Amino acid sequence: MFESFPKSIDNTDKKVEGASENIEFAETLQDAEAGEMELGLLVADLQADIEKQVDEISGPEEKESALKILSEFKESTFKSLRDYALIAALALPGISNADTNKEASFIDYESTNQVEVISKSLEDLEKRVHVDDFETMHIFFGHKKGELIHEQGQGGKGDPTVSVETSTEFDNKLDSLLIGHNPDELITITMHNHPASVLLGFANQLYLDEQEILNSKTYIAPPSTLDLMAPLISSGGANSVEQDGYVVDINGTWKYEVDKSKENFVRFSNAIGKATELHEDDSSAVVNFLYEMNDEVVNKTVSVIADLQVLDVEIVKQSISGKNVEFLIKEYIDKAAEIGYTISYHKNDGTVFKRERLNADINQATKSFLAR
Amino acid sequence: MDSKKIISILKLKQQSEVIDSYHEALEKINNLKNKLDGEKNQNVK
Repeated sequence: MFESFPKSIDNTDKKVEGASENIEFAETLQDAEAGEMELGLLVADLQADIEKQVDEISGPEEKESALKILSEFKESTFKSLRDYALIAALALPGISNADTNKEASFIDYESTNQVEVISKSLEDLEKRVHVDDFETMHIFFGHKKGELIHEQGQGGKGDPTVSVETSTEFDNKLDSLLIGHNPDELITITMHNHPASVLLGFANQLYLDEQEILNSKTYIAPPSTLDLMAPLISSGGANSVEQDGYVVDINGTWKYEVDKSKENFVRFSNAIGKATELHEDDSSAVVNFLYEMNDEVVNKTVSVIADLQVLDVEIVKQSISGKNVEFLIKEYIDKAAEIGYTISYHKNDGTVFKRERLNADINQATKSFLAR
Repeated sequence: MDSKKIISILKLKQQSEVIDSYHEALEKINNLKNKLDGEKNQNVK
């Protein structure tokens, strides 16, 4: 049903604007919450009516059947509400704010079995990731600056079951990105709204992409990744790229000059290089970044497909008719094009690959929705 | 179309889903009621 999607939308000559995204986020969140309340009231109203009907049933067997019907209704409407919460949260502007010190939050999706562990470190990720592991969601959490960034670092804030190692060497330059893990196998991929961690986030993503490509899974890239970066460029805040030593050249591409001494960037660069080999011939590349990695080991310009995804396609598919799924995704593609991102859509074997990214704000929004 | 519109559409879709569930439940309950009524009428006869 997705064949009509454009393979590539090229708007790389457009500039990225990010200044108003926080406002947009807040307004959209407000709308989403209002919608959720409205939906919740509808459910409550209808449920009350069903309960009244059930009360009127007299026979014991029939009563039991009626209660089962009520239970099914509750389950169904819960799913409707939950899907609304999830999708609405994911449909929020894929941005984030300049508040890069915001505490990470942790969503417990255990009850819904929606989340699966991917890994707890980049290394581990490399070994463990299989597309089939991706049952439903992959969530990126914002992390407090300096919390983690270490090759041997384990876990993440919000996950008390694992230790946190902090490498001060990276604290001043990099915010955190690491994948938390707990015994209940809830995924906690951490990512900070910072170019460096975004880059490292890509490294994670690219490993996933590799598996994705190798398994011929469908691939969707929304504008969220670049949205994430835009405020950092425009805000010039405490964590601006300039102050943190990054040079950004917005001219349809993004260029980063990264500290050469960072060992992790060697690793990261390797990841980029590895991914690039996979993607360099992919003419339908989605978001094309240009990284200039000035590193002792790696000094090359690479073009990367980044695919931090906003919509969980599976959830959308389950909730919305096929036509509307096309519509929604198409809208994302169009939106991306409007703000200068190039998105393409891959569909190789009919299987929709599902992945999503939630930044801290979206995470909070989801948590807020689900908590009600 | 922006995120607001997407969320608006989503809300409508989910509302529709909820209402469908309601009608489905209502139909099932009405069937139960009809069954009970039928049995009552049989007993009266």
